[in-house]
Amino acid sequence: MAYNDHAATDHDHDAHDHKPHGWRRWVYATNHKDIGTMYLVFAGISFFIGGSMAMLIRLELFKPGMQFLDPQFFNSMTTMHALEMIFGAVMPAWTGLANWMIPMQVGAPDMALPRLNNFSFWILPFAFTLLLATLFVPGGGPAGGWTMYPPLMLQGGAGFPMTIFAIHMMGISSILGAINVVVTIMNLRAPGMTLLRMPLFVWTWLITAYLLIAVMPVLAGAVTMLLTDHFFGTTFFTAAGGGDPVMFQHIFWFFGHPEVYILILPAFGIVSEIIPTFSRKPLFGYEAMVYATASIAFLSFIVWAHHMFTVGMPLAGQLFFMLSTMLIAIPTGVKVFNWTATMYRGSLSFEPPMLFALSFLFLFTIGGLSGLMLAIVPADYQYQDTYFVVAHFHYVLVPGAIFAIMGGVYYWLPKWTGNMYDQTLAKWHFWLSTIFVNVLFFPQHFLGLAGMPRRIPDYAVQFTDWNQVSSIGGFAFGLSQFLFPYIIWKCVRGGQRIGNRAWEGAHGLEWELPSPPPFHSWTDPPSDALIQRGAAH
Amino acid sequence: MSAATPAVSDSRQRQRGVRRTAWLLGIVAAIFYFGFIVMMVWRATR
Repeated sequence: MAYNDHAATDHDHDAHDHKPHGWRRWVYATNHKDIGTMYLVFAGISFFIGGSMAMLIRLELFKPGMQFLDPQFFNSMTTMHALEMIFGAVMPAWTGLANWMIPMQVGAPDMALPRLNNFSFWILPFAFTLLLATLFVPGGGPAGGWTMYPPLMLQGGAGFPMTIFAIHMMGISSILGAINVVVTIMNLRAPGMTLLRMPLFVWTWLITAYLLIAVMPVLAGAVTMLLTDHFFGTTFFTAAGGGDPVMFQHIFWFFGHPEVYILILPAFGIVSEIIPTFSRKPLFGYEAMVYATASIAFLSFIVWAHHMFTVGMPLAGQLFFMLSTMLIAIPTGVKVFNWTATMYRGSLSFEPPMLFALSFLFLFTIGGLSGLMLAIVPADYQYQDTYFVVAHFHYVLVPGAIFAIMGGVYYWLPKWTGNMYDQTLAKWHFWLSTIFVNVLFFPQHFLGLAGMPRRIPDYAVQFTDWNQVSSIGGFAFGLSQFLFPYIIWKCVRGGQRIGNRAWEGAHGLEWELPSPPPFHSWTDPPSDALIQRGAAH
Repeated sequence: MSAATPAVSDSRQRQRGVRRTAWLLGIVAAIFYFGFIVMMVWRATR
C-alpha cells in the first residue's frame, strides 16, 4: 500500500522524489523536513537576537546607577527579549522539531497540510520584522513587559499597533501550525500505530497543539481590546470609563498560564525519548506519562490567577488558585519519578543529549519547586514582582525548555545529517551552559528574597554583588552559546558517517529510516513489526 | 464505475479524514478567534 497518492503529498513534486533547488526549495517549501529546518534556523536567529537583548539588560545591571541605556529603552529590552524568546525562539523551535520528527515518528510521508505548513512558517519572519521595527519608530518599542498590562501598555507610541499586529500574526501562525500537527497525528499514523504506541514526543505535541488552538484566540482578543481602548474610544481596561484594568490580567493569564505549558510539554516529550535511549531501558510508566501530560494540560486552565494574587481577590479565589496550582505538582512529580525510575539500574551512558536531559531533570525541578513556593499566597505577597519570580521562570524556560531543545537537536542531528557531530565540543557546550546558567540565575533568587524588584534599570547598592555575579554568568552563558551553531554547521558539512540508528539504545520509527532520511519519509507505511519494535516503551 | 482497490480506497478515506479534521479544527479555531473579537465589539457598543 503506497502513501504517495495521499492528500498529504498531493503537491507537484511529491509523486516523484524530485527535490526543488535554489531559493524555490525554501520559499515554496512544502516538505516537512525543509519547513522544519527553516523553523529551527528562524528559532536560532531569534535566540541570538533575544539573547543579545538579555546581554544589554545584564550590562546595564552590572552596577547600580544608569550606565548605558535610558530607562525607556531598558524597558523595551525586557519586553522585546521576552517576546523574542517566547514567540520567536522557543515556540518556533518546537514547531521545527515537530515538523521534522512527527511524520517520521508516526510513519507518515509528510505533514497532512503541506501548503498550510509553508504559510504558517512564512508569516513568522514578517511578524518579527514588524516587531523589531518598533524599536525604530517614534516612541520606541513596546515597554510594558511581555504581559502588556494596561494602562502602561496603552501609553506606547507608534510601535503599539505594530506590536499588536505582530502578535496577531504570531498567533495565527501558531494556530495553523497546531491544526497541522493535530490533523497529521489523527489521520496519517501508519496502520498499527495506535495512540498508545505513539512516542511521547508525539503525545506531548498533540496535547500542546490542542492547548494552542484553545488559548491563542484569547490572547488575540485581549490585545484587540487594548487596540480598541487606544484607538477607538472603548474603555475595557480604563476605570474612568467603567472598565477594569484587572480584567486584562485575568484574560491575559487565562492565555498565559497554558502558554507556559505550551513551552514546556514538548520538552517533557523529548526528555522521555532521550532518557530511555541512554539508559538502555524502556520508559518507566509510559501510560502514566501520557495521562500526566493530559492532566497538566487540563490543570493549566484553572490556575491562571496565581499570577495575580496581589490584585486583591476574594479569599475563596486565592485558596482555589493556590490549591489548584499545587495540584500540578502531582502529575509533574509522576514525570520526574518515572524519568528517575527509567534510569534506575539502567546501563547509563552520558552522551550530549543525555547530559542535557539530566541537566533538565535537576534544574527544571528547581524551577518547579520555586513555582510551588510562589503558589503559596502569603509567601507570594512577598515574592510578587521581585527577582525571585525572574529566577523561577528562567529556571523553567532556560535549563527547562531551551536545554530540552538543545538535547533534542543533539539527539536527532545525526539522523538529520547522516553525520555524527563533534561530541567533545558538544560536551563543552553542555558543561559551560550548565555551569553558567546557574551562575546567571541562581543569585537572582537571593536578589528577589532581599527585595530587588524586577524590570528596573537601576537598584539600591546592597544588591550590587549578586547582580555582578549574575551578569558575569550571563555574559559567559551567552558566549558559550556560539558553540551550538558552530557544532551544527560543522556536522552539516561532514563528519563520521552513521547508520540508521545513531544511538544503540534508540527506539522508534525514525531510527528505521536511513540517515539522512529520504526527501519523503515513509512513502510506504512501516510494517507492524517495525512499529512494535519502535514502540518498545 | 469500477470498484476501488483497497489501497486507493484506504487513501481516499485518509484524504477525507484529513479534510474533515482540518475543517473541524479550522472552524473551531476561527470561532474562538473571531468570536472573542466580535463579542468584545458587541460589549463595547452596548
